[in-house]
Amino acid sequence: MKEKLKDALALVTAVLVVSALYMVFVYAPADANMGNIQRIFYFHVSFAWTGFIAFFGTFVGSLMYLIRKKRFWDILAVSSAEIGIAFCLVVLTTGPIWARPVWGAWWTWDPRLVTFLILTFMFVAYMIVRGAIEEETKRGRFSAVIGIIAFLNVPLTYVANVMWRTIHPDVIRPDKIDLDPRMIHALFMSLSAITLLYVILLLRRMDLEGMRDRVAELKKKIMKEA
Amino acid sequence: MEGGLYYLFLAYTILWVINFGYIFFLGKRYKDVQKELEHLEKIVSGK
Amino acid sequence: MGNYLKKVFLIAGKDMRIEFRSKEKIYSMMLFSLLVMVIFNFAFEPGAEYIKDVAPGILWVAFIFAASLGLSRSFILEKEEDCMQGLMLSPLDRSGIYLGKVIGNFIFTMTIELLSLPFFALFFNLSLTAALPPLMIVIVLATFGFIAVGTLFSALSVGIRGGDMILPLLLFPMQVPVIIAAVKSTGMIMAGSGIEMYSQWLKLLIAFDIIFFVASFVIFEYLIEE
Repeated sequence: MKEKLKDALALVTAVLVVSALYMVFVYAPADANMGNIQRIFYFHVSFAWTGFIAFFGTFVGSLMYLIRKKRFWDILAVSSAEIGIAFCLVVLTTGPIWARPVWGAWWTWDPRLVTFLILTFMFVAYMIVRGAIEEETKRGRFSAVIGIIAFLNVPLTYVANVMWRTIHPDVIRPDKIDLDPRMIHALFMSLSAITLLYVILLLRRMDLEGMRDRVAELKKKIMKEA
Repeated sequence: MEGGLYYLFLAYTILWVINFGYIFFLGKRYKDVQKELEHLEKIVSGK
Repeated sequence: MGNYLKKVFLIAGKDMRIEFRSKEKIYSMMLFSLLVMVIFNFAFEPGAEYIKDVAPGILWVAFIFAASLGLSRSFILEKEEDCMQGLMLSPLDRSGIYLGKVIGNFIFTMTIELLSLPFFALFFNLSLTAALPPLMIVIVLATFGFIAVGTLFSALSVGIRGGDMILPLLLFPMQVPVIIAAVKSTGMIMAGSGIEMYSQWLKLLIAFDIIFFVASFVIFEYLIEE
């Protein structure tokens, strides 16, 4: 039953992704200033939002783990973090590809892009720490501490970078886009598609972690009997 | 305009490469663990 | 309350007595901080005028590197001699251990920074006497923020295998807001600007200090739960 529900969810996601792609490439008009290149915007923004939500999921999971000490929350935290890193990778590659033809440079020290970069670095470190600890409860506690602290740093990193930019005035304003209603539809469609993608990936990843626990449990049992 | 299209398709290609790459990686780990789990369950029930 | 603080200062005092007696840590942090200043100097043309623009950045890289060197040793002694057990058995709750460690690390790092400051002025031919009072505010605020998070992560990294390699991975991305704020305000102070020019940056540093001191203070007790 549960598997069937997940399959149905995956099917819905696939349909949504295809319709989002259709809306992005056909339904929405080309941007008046940037032309077709602006069509990167829809998925770039969707991945950025969802990536951020994924790290927020890690933050919530970490917080709840410290309070409740239930393995479930630790599983949620690590699964969400891994998907967050994958989504941020999308943000950090599509961002520069967009920047190159529009502003003439691959990398710009745009506050949002820098914040995502720092966030990604922090959560890669989070995964490294997880890999370095064998014992389950200790791994949960230590990584929860990082998950919480790293997420708290997001607003400060963003504000610091915005202030840094205003002192070095540049002409980059990526948010200055005339939004046609059809563009907004396309954005919402991609946003829901990617959010659903996050949900099914998260469920899958959490299943994987649960199965690993089961493997460890069985191994222990066999070792005891032998 | 032509250059714009090149970057547009580059972006969407990389986007899906990363995504399917991750999905593939996830599926592979899933299958490996599943296999190991089945194997272990067989040992446990065999005893 | 007074009793609590007395015990906290006992821990801070113990740490500082060890470090000031053995002097090994003072010498290595001091030398490291000077080496960073000297090595960075070679990246630029000798006697170039723009060296004054990059000097604040070099100063803070030197401070942050030296401080993280010190932080990486902060809990090593406790671990090697199993003193952590002793500390935890003492009639002081765990937040008190954190507080004591923060105070000890803060005073110690400030000492190193104040000792390196004259060398900085010497190497870069700067006159810092007029800028010293406002510069002290920046140094105190930035160092405290760095130490507040750093002490938490230092305690975390001693519990992990290969932790000394992981500590900078956690520390440096966390310190991005601090580094930007400290470098910017130091630059303005050295250029002779009034406080209204950099008060925004000071506010950011204060926000960082408060958020991460409180968060680390609360979270610390989950870290050493054995």
